[in-house]
Formats: sequence, structure tokens, C-alpha cells
Amino acid sequence: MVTAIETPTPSGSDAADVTVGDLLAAAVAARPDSPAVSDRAGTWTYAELDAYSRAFAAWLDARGVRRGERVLARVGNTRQFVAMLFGTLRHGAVFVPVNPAMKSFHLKSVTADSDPVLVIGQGEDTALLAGLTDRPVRELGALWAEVEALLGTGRDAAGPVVSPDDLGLLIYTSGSTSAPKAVVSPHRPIVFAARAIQAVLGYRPDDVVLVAIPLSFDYGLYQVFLSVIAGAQVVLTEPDRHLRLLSTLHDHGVTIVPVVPSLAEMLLRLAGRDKRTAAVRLFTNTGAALTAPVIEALRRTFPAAQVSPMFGTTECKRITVLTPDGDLAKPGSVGPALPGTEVMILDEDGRALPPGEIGEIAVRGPHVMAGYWRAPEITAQRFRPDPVTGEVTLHTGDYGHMDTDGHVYFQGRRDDLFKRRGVRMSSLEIESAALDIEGVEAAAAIPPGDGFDLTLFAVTSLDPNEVVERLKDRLEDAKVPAECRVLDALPLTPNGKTDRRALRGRLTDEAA
Amino acid sequence: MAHEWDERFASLLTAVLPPSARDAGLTPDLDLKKAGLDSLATIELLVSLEDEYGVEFPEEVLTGATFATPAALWRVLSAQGAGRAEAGPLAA
Repeated sequence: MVTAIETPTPSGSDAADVTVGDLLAAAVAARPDSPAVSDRAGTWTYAELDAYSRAFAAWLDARGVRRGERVLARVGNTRQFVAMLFGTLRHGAVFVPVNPAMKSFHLKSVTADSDPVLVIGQGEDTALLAGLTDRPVRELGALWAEVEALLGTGRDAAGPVVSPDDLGLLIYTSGSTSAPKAVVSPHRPIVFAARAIQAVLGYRPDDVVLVAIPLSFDYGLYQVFLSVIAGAQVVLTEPDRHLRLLSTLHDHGVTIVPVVPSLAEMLLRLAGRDKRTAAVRLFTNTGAALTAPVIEALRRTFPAAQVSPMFGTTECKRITVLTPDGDLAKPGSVGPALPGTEVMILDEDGRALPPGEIGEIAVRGPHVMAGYWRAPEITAQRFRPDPVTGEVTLHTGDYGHMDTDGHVYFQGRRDDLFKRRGVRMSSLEIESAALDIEGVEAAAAIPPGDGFDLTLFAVTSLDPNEVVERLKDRLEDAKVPAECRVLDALPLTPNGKTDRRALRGRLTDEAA
Repeated sequence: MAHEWDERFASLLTAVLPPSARDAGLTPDLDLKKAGLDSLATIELLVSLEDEYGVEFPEEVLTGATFATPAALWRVLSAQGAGRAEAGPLAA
């Protein structure tokens, strides 16, 4: 019986001693004059990106920033972000990207926790940052003039030797209950994960990758690494330009679009009023899963495009990738383990479960990051070394099952799993059944709580009782919601996921 | 209080705002972003306005400024030949 599937390492990805900077160096050597990154203001070639990253490293050096020290950047999707990313890592320092949409409450904790030697803000936001930290805060536009002055001065030639085991990134993840915590990402697992993802997705040198997702999220950030490995071009855009997404696709000849559900919805609505044929050949998805109707609509609207659902967690970047259009044969799956890594489904005692049974998704391999920043207790809970071999198993806290081919089906966080009338179920399976009903556009199932029973919130033109009736054809009795409520739209979190807490809050308030 | 816009505009705009903003009512200079008009809602509003008024927003007005306030949005919509702009030079 197969309970854990190990996929072979892709050839040529024996990433023993490669740093993130080496990835860029290889692209610069291979195609210095090819476009590397574009934003609303223009485009840099690989040679230009390299030159700016060197100048930024020299600028950090002049500020006295040393190896291992943190540089926090709260900057939108701009070319400067990409140059600062590579420049900081080239200098041996640690880049800490923070989402411009993060509110002061969390921002204050992140600026303290990351213990940065330098904080970089953008525009008016810089004053807010200065009010939250006692560390030096610089405004991007002002410092960039100083960086440009260092271009080609020769002061950017040498730098410290960076080891693959040096820390490269601190990526903050939104803890749903507690303060944000940072995943410690050394160069080695970053490079391994990026190369392994690329081995499945196959970005090409002529690809143009649209990054509309914030670069401060690892899904957006790794698009830069994937693109550099392939020698492709990244096109950066920001929320205030989303109305023009279709023109951005056409103007740049975009071929790959990583999407979260809200972005996919936007593209589909805009495509309804703009009939030009887009060159998109691949949509990837992670963060929150696209529903089957949305995947279908993407294929209908962008006939040249394949779809690749993926699944991951910042703690190891990527867990599974389904090959492009793999969902046609394996609907609902997020794919098999990333090449060269292992995925297991474990019961509550940490024993591997047979195919088909729901358990915690656990991961082993060279992509597992180095724990949480300055948080030994939660690191010990989630990153568990084998008592004999020392190999770390990452317990993701995500639940799902695996089929006999090693394809993973995600079911939700531990909180999304619950028992009703003695039957174990997940919100996700109820939502999937609801979305299977013609006329239901979106759905969120909230488990029973104090004073309320299992409730489905749905965006639909159907009568709510009709939705419940049709669910009875699709789900066993215990899984049929007691009630369906119709909404104009589901509330979303800033990450574009359904805001379940807000929905649960409504039910709790009514019951109180 | 009467506004410069018509009922259809008011109802399409309030439909995409969160319930809290709906109850507060529309004023000409309401900050729509602060009221909860996110990217997806903005695009839904664009599509519903174009359908309802039979107009097409040209690329150059697809900006944050157009959707900043009800008054700004109504001005741009009217300039495309919708609503009270029938008296204007752009009337189709």
C-alpha cells in the first residue's frame, strides 16, 4: 500500500551550493539584453536589473548594513523592489518584505519582531513607519536617487561571499489568531523550491509573467525567482491598476498569470467587456483554491490557457504542484509532491494513513525552511526532527487526503474540519457540493457553533431552500446544512480568501 | 436631499458597497475606497454601469480617480453619454 509518495529529483536541480544571487547571475550571463522586469514606469533588462541590484548592495554597504542583518521593505510591486531583493541578498543581508496593505496593529509587531537595521517605506506611508519603530526609516524615492548615483562607480563590484546557508528572507505569514510570525528562509531551500516548481511548470525564456499579486506574499515573490531561472520577463502591476488588467495583458503580451480567486474573478469580468484575444498560456493558482466553475470559465475565456492548481505553505514554500491541465484527469486535486520531496498524510499520533483517509498533511525534503524567526516553541511544534536521523518533518496544520497515485486533495485547516451527528466532514466538501449546483456562484459553509447549526452562505440567484434541497442530492444527510443564506458577495480577507470569521461572527451575534 | 445622479446609478453603486456603507447613504464626495469599494467591486460596478447605460468607458478613464467618489464617477459616466448628459455635446 502506498502511503507516502516520493517523487524523483528533477535532473539538473542538484542545488547543493547555489545562492539566490547565482540564479540572477546565470540569467544575466545567458541573456543580458532580454527584458527582466517591467512596471508602470518602464522595463529593465537582466543587465540593468543586475546593475541596480549591485548598486543597492553598495548603498547598503555604505550604510553599514552587515551580513545577516534585516532590511525591511514595505514597498509595492515596483522594479525597485526586485532590485532591492537581489541587492540585499547579494550583500548577505536578509530581505523582509511587508505588504503595504498590512494595518498598523500587525505592522507594529512585525517591525519590532524582525529587528531590522533599516526600514524602507514608500511615499506618505514612510511617516507611519517612522512612528512605529525607532530604527532608521528611509523613503524609497529619496534613497533611490542615492542608489542611482552609485551605478557603475565600481564601488559595487565586490561584496561578501554569500553561503547557501545564509538567511535570505524573512516572510511573515498571517497567523489567523496570533501576531504574524516569520518563516526563516535560507538561500538553499529557496533555490531548491524555486527550481523544483519550475521543473513542473516549465516557464520559458519567451514567457511574460504577470505579477498582480503583492510581491510581499511568497506567491508573488517566487514568480521573480521562477522567471529568473527561466530567463523570462516579469510584469508588475498593483491594485490601483486592476481596472486596466486586460490592457496590461495585451500591451506586454502576458503568457503566464498566477491567480488567487479574486484576481481570477476580476480577469473574467474584465474579459467580458474586452473581446481582444489574450496570449495567456498558463494560469497557476494557490493561496486559496479556484472553484471548478472559475477554472472552467478561465478555460472558456482564455482558450489558449492551461490551468495548474498548486498547494503550499510558506514554511516550505510549495507542497504540491499539479501539472498544467492535470485537473482534467484529477479534478479537485492540488497535485503530487513537489519533485524531490515527500508528502505524507498523518493521523493524530503521527502515523501515516492509507489513501483516501483524511489526516494532517506533513512534508519532508530540501524545501523545508528553517523554522520560525525567534520562536522556538512554535518551531518545535511544527518542524519536528526525527529522533534518529534528525530529518525534519513539517507538520503543516493543513488537512487532506491522498489518492493511490499520490495526488493530494486539500480539505482545509484543522478548524475547517468538524463533526456533526458523529460524522467527520470539512467545510470545503460542502462548499464544493454547493458550487456543483447550477446557479450557485460562491459558497461558504460555517460549522455548527454555540446557538447555531451548520449554515451555508451562498451567492446565488436560487431560492435558499432550493439550494438546501439540491444539496440533499449531493451530500449525506449529516452534511446537509440546516440553513442557506443568500448574500450579494462573500466577505473577503485582505488576502482574497473568504472571511469565515466575519461570517461566523454574524451567526454568533444573532445567537447571542 | 437631491443629488445630481439618477436612481439607477445610486442603486448600482450601493449594490457593490458593504452593508455598513449602504446604510450611511451616498454623498457626492464619499470616499468610495474607504467605504469598502475594493478592486473586485470596482470592476463589478464598471461592468454593471456599462451594461445599464449602454456605454463603454474608454481606457484613459479606467483609473482610481474615476471611482474615487460618487460625484467623480457620475461625471465620467455622464461624459460617456449616459444620464443627464443628453443635453451635452457627447450625447449619442
